[in-house]
Amino acid sequence: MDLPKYPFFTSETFLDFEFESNGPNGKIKKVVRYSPQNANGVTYFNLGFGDWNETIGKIDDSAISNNQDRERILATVAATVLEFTRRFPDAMVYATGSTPARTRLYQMAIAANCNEIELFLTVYGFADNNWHPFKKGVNYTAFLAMRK
Amino acid sequence: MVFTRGISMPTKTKSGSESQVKRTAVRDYGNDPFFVKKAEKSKAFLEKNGFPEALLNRKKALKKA
Repeated sequence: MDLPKYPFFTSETFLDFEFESNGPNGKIKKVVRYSPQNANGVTYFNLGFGDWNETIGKIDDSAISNNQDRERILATVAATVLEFTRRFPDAMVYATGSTPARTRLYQMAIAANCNEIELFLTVYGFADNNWHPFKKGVNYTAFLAMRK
Repeated sequence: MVFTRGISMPTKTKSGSESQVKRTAVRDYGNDPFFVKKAEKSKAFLEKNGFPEALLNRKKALKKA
C-alpha cells in the first residue's frame, strides 16, 4: 500500500530530515533525526522524531499538534527510514517513543507501511524481554531495523 | 519526494543514474536536548538488552564484504 506522504528535505549528512505537516492547526515543522550512537561496541542510529518549536528554538516533545494527518506523518517518517537506510545500508536503526503512546504510534507506522517496509527492511520488535521478528498485532516496546 | 538542502548539484542515486536535487540548509539537530536525551536512553536500553543476533550477524557480514 503506497500511503500518501509529505515531501521531505534532508541535511548534507542525511542524519536530519524535515517536513511540514499541514492541517487545521496550520503548518508545523516536523523533524526526524538519526543520532549515531554506540552500545557495547555496536554502532547504530537512534531515530528521534518531534515538532520543531520556533519560539523556544528546540524540539518540543510535549507538543500534540493534532493536524488530522497522523497516517500521512507516520508514512513520511517511515519513508525517511527507507531513505536513510538506502544511504547507509549497513546501519541499524533503533526507535522507541518517549511515551508508551508514542511507541504505539511507531508500531502503527510500521504496521501501516509494512508492505513497503518489508520489501527493504528487516524489522525486529522488543517484547517479553527479547527481540523478535516484527509481527502485526504484537505490542512491542522498541524496534530495530536494518536494510535487507 | 526527497530534497537535500544546500546548493543544486547532481547526485548519484543507488542505481547509478544522476538526478538534480534541490539543496537548502537543513540544520544539524544533533545537539537538540530532546534528541540527545533519547539517544542516551537508547544506549542504556541496548546495553542492557542487546541486539538481535540476526542483525549483528548481518552487520558482520557486510563489514567483511
